[in-house]
Amino acid sequence: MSGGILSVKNLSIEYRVEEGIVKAVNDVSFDVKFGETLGLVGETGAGKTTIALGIMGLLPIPPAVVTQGEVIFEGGNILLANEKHMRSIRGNKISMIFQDPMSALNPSVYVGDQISEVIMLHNNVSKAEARVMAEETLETVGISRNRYDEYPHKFSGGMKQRVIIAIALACNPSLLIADEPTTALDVTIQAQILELMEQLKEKKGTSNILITHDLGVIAQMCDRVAVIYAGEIVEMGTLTQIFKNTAHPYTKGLFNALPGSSSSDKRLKPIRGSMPDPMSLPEHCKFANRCSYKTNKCAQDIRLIDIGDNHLVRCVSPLYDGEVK
Amino acid sequence: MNVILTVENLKKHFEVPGGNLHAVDGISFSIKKGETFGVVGESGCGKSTLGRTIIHIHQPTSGRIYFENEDITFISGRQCRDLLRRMQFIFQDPYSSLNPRMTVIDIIMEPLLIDGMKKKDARQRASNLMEMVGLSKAFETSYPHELDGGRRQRIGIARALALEPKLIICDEPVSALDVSIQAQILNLLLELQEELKLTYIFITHDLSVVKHISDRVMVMYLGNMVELAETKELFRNPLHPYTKALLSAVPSINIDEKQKREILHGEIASPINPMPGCRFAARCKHVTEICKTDDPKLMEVKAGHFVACHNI
Amino acid sequence: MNKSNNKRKSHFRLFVQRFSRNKLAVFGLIFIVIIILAALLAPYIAPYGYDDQDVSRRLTKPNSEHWFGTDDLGRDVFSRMIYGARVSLSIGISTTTISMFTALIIGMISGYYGGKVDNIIMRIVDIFLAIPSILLSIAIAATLGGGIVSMLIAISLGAVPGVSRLIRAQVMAESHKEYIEAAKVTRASDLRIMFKYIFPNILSVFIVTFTMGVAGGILNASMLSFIGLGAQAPIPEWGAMLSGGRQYIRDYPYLVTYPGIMISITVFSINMFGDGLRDAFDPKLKGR
Repeated sequence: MSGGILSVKNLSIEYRVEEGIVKAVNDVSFDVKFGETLGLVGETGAGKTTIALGIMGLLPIPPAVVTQGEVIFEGGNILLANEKHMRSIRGNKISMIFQDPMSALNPSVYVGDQISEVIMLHNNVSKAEARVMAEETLETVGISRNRYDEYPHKFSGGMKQRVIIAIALACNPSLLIADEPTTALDVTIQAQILELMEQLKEKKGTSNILITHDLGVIAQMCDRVAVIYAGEIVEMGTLTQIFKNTAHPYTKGLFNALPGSSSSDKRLKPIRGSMPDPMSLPEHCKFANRCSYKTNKCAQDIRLIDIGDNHLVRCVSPLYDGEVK
Repeated sequence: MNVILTVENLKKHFEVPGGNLHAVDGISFSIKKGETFGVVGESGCGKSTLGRTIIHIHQPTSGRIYFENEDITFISGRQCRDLLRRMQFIFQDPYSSLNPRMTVIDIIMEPLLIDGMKKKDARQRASNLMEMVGLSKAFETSYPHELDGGRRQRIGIARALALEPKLIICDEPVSALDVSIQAQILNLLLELQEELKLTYIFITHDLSVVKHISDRVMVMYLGNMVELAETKELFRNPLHPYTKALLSAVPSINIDEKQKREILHGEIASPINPMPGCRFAARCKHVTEICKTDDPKLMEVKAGHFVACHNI
Repeated sequence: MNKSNNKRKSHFRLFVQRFSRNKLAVFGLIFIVIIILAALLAPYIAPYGYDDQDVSRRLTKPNSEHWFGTDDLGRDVFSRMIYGARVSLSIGISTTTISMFTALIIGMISGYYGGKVDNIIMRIVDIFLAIPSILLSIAIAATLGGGIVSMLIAISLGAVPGVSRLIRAQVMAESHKEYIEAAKVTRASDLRIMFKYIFPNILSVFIVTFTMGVAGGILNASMLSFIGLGAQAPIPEWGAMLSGGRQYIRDYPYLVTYPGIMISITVFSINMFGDGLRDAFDPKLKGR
């Protein structure tokens, strides 16, 4: 057990719906070390949000079913925790911020009160004390404390996201899960929010799981990265390992598909095909039918292998420095 | 004449509860045949409204639009229908821009049938169009919701190409798609442009995409043009403070350089009943007195490089 | 992600699956089928004609020869009930067809064009909505002099304002969607958009409203006939039968109970069927 704030072991989650069974998350394991930011990167439908909801105990059950796995936090498996225990954790020890700031705030409650609410829920303080703490939290996220008594609709998208961050950090959680926190925001506002998140990370030492599809955001914010494809981790390592020694063809494909990756060539190098239907996942390597390096060896169950220094890849012939080993 | 479209001081205002919303407030530019003209800006800058006004989804409030040397600013319904044979539109959201109750082949056949083509011929042409955009014949009888975003967007492209337009306005055509699919669609658009000699207006908020696909780029802010230049020149040598902030804000995948982000502070001005003066003044590092009172005029600072700023 | 063509077949199967889970709806469907069969096969299954009078046998209680007894003119109640199914169904379906298509046109124009056109049309509709539909139907029927034709007109018109509002709301919601904007860019005419684009996308609401409308039509027909403004003797309309049996209710309650139960079960069945349709079309609405 590598000492960390959170340890996810062999997590598998399915959605059982009318049309069939959606295998959203397949045997995912990772640790989050103290004070680090782990990035979960992948495209739509890869299963990143499902993993986050699974950790937080926020999966809609039914139709979601956790078919196996453990999530170890503070020495215990919180997948087995009852709702009362989870409520003492959420917003308090583990916080989550979601993608869409427009709909995450209660439109009929003052923003300040929404922060105070969380504080009072988890701490034995009076309303007045909570207000003081909430005002301070507002200042921490760059909002004047005078705006405590304003309704969410008076705030722009970026400001709303700051409020959401304030709510999430009000009780000084040890872990913050941020699911595409800046995707819905304009680029210049995104820059503000990312800067804020960096400052807060430094100040409070919170560990983070940052979920995004944007490799640029990963590059700027994360210490380690896990690449998710079709519900599995296909590559995991430090920022340098993933960006400089890319080993999995999918990860490589993501980099190649970025406009601006090859400066002279007008044509981009997309990954042909599309992600498999989670209701009928292919056997063996789930990326094989889109992979330019596919061989006969790929028709077997592929496990994560360590290619050195804890750089994990799910591939029989991992790339290294962009060339086949 | 090499110019296919000219826009002069185009304005589009909307009556809203708070007053008059100046969505597009005096835009002027010309586009050459075969060019890809990029329009970039953040939400609320008016780029989508600009595209929709040129194609007459909205009626212009004032100004002039010339297409193939014809004044198309204020045209009747019939003239508009004629225009739409030569100018087309690709929508952003592949999930909502297709009729959920029509099959793929039906959607592509629509513009042809409406134009009076016989059903058999229309079917044949629609089939060819599907091939042209990389959609397998097997999907002819599929419904949009059965296909992924990338394939749906190909349907939208095939539909736009049906009547062989000369100019296509692309409104964020890849913004709703995943990165790996984005690349496929961008490649497709480039191929089609070469093959069919198309001219594009490419509207997007994504700077890397606009850099990749455009010949020239226009930066918009709150309804105004703030800068216009050839793509390489704009990215190498941005002059307007907003453009500089915008470029520095894009998270770079270069992990060696600690990114020096220029963070904008201050309130975003309202596009409703705007006050005179530069709209960017409240957030600008270099603001001076004149910025607060006088609208900056667009000036050609270098060959082909235009900026609207008092302090260049 | 590509889902294969098998998906489309299974959409229908899923629909049937969802519907069948609703026991009341299935019961409703079965009963409706029985009523329709009764109406279609009336001459073959009714033991007597609906107007076969036998005064010597008037007012006999239910027995082996007359399962539901006879009325004050010696007519077999059971046979009259079966023929009554014809009357009710044809009234229900015809009035609903007229009202739905009228409301469709009004709602479509109002919802699609919006603005002044919508304002004017909806203000007129509001005026009619201010009058309870029952009173409206009665007023129209009375003005036109009673009888089946005036009843048909009265019921049809009575339903139009409410349904127009409903359709207008649906049309308006669809009209603002991007695929309609896209259709305009492909040079589609307004008429084409209304019927090839908007209508198919509001079809499920239309079908459910139609179904409920038939139930409402049957109920209104019974009501109007009951008060004498609808079907006239000897037409065996259930409401008229109720009315006719009223004076004998103390000693011969069967004259009233059977037609009454028929009306209730029929309307209930159609409503349950309609509910089931609505839930099967759009399970998300169910609030699961």
